[in-house]
Amino acid sequence: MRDVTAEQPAAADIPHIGRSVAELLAGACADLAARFGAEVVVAQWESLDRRHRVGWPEPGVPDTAALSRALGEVRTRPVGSVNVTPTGSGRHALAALLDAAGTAAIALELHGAAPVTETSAALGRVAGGLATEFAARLAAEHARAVSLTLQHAMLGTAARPHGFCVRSTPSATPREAGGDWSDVVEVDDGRVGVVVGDCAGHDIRAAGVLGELRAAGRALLRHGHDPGEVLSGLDEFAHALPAASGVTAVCAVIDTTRGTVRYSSAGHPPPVLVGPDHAPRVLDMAQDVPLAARRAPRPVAEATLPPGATLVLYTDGLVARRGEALDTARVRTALDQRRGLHPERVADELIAELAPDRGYDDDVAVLTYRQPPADLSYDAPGDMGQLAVIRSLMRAWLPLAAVAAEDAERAILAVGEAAANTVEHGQKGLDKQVTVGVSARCRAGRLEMTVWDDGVWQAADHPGEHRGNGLKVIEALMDVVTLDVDEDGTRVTMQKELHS
Amino acid sequence: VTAPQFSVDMSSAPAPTVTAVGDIDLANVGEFRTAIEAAAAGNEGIQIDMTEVTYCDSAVVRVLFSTAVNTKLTLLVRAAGVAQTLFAISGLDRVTTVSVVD
Repeated sequence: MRDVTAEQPAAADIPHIGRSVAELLAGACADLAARFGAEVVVAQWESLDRRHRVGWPEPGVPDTAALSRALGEVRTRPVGSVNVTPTGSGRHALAALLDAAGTAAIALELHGAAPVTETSAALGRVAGGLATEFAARLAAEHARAVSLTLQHAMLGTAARPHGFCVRSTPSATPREAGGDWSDVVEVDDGRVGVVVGDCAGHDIRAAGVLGELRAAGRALLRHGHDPGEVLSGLDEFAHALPAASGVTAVCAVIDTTRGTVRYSSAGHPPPVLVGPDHAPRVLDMAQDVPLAARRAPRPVAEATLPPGATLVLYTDGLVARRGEALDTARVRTALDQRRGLHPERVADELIAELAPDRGYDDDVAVLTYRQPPADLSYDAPGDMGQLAVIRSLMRAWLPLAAVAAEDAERAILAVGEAAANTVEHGQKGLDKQVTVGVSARCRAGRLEMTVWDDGVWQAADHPGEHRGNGLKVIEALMDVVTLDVDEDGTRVTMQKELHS
Repeated sequence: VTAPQFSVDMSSAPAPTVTAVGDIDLANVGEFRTAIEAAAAGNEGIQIDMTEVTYCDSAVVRVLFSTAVNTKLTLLVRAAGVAQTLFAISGLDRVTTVSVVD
């Protein structure tokens, strides 16, 4: 599952674009081969500035010089007319144009004994019907591509604060663009607003409604409004938009410093909260009607976000199945097993785990947030065996702190180098057992780690032995590194700005 | 029975190969050195497959630097992995051949 909001895809990369035209023409190629006993049939067309080719026999599109020439020559002829070209040894290439722009044509090659005149007339009749169907399908594909491209543009690619992750996936069945959206807005120091919404309908109008409501929601959040006020504001906008009936949305404002979330839901599935040490809990104390359903103040509720908690907002596509009541138990169960994963993986795995066998009927948007966990703190006798213990603690804590895999690997190496220096040299000349300690904390998107000991720091570079390399490595891996050495011991403090 | 963390294949082409897996730190870098010395004995060059190494640090870099004095080293590492980063930072990639495997 890839994050389709993270990039603006080329229309040609969107699944299903070009497929229905391809299916139509591939089917026509197979039919013509069977009907006329042709050995090779090829169709080509252009869509979204790309040339496509299908043919028979499959797999692999046949590419013969005779057919390519026939396809090229027919381009200046009227739609439906058939061009016949001898190709030697009594064989003939027949080509028919499928669109007035001269970009789509179908061609086949007949063996020597085939009745060229009758086949040519029959091909002309087939091409006439095919041309109409081709034009309709191509137009539908273009409309969907435009709609999806607009939707992606409106969903934006703004950088998110650390710990927030959004994932969305269009429904599996080919059709028009969906109307789910999700948004993350930094309000002020430590406060972040989020909205997840679902516009009924899946056409270009739904995409337009989505764009308006999303922009309005961002503005309301940025002005510091409470979730209830944000949804009331969206009620006003939705009233003015005829296509906005039945839009649902959930809004939450998270105080990342205090560890609280205030939320309100307009007919939308309630958020789910799971702490590292407690079972998933549905935040359903502020459920109300969909947007614009009536004019009244919106309810707001507040919940505590314990350290390491995961908050999940989603659209009902994640759990809704045709003909079934909305079942949030499946979200809770899936989430319960993933409390300690990086929030990106939580979102990815929720989408993957809850997917029906045939793929989702509806679009799905999932937004996850991870509250920073309790600080990591560990100390032990400074022997070599502790290095593996420290790594395993870091490997569990870093994903919980929403540190991405690549940053985590670097953090483990930096701490490992500092701890190894203690283990290797800290004991030098001392009678007592040296202690090594590690601490790590995550605040406002900044990772801060400390490795300390009560021994002796070995920094001198021994020529030829490449000792003292450790600090050089740490400095290359981290943004800020400070080394404090005194008679009580050594303290290496390392900081790194995290990417969302 | 778990597979050995460091294995040596003297008959592999184009050169004897040491394959390392898992974490390498001060606690086991000695075994890594022993495997490398066994492969390097009497050979001009060796290959060290580190694509399955999940952690290594300066202790490993020191062993590789000292081996590289007399032996041609080709190091296979995972793309964007921690070993590749470490070898670039330490300058090890200037005295060995670091081959990145996707």
